[in-house]
Amino acid sequence: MRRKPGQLLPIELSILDAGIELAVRGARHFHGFLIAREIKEREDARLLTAHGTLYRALDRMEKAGLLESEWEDPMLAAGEGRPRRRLYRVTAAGEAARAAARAPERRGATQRRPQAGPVTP
Amino acid sequence: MSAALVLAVGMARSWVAIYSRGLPGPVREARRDEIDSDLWEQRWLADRRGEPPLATAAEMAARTLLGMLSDVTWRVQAGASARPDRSIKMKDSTIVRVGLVVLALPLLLVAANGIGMLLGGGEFESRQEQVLYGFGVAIAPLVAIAGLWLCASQPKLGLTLVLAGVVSICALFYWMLFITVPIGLVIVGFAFFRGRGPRPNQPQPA
Repeated sequence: MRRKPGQLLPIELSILDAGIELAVRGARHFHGFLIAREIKEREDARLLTAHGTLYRALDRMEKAGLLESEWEDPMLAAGEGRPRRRLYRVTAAGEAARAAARAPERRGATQRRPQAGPVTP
Repeated sequence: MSAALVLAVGMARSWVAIYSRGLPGPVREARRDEIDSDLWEQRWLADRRGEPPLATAAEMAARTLLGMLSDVTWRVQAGASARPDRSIKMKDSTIVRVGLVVLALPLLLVAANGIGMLLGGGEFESRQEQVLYGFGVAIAPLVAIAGLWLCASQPKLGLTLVLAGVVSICALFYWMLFITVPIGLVIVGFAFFRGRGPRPNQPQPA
């Protein structure tokens, strides 16, 4: 089944939520495992996102312009004795897509909020 | 590194090597490096937090197994976009496609059984035994499915994987040989004849 253009899958929305949250906390870039861990903690999931699901979604989102990526300097990774990381960043298009996807929820929350008024005994 | 972790990391790396085989170098290397980095980060964090290696290994294995369908889909898409001049369609007849689905179903059932064991199902003397047996039961049918998938385009590799998967299942469920052997023979026979069929883009005699 094909999805509508601009519609985000749950995993894509989770990645955007987690990526933006990380950016707010000062992490300009994130790598695959970091986003998997962030999603697990945010959603209180039992398992980290599966490799295939995560990296396929990251690949698809980069092609759609929602994310940008670059490989880190191999010398830096070698200096820390670990494999090099692929660093992702949420683009402006990614932020807009996430805002659009979350808009109906926000509207729903506003409508459900009780009206302020006199408290009756 | 504990034996369970070695096994889980090896399984994840082997699976990446299988499904990224045949892709252009940069695409293949990028995926392998990304998974390598992920495995390293997960191990490093688990070490730092003092988490039991068996739990980390089980989670790594589950991440690999649960993502396999996405990996195969990604592989097909990456292969199609990287090689627009070569058809990746198998040109299978409807009968062959139906055969593939029918044979993949019992294999998927066995794989699901293995995943259940990894997540704690079944009765075992120790958790380690459960994880090791679950690994085998989960991975063997998936290897056979990968072989069934590949045997039209790469007959030798495909048939080897099917044989490896089927023989492993027979060994793991040795008390059910009267079921596993006949079904296994059908699967191997199907893979063999599929591998012998007309190859994609092969010139046909006039």
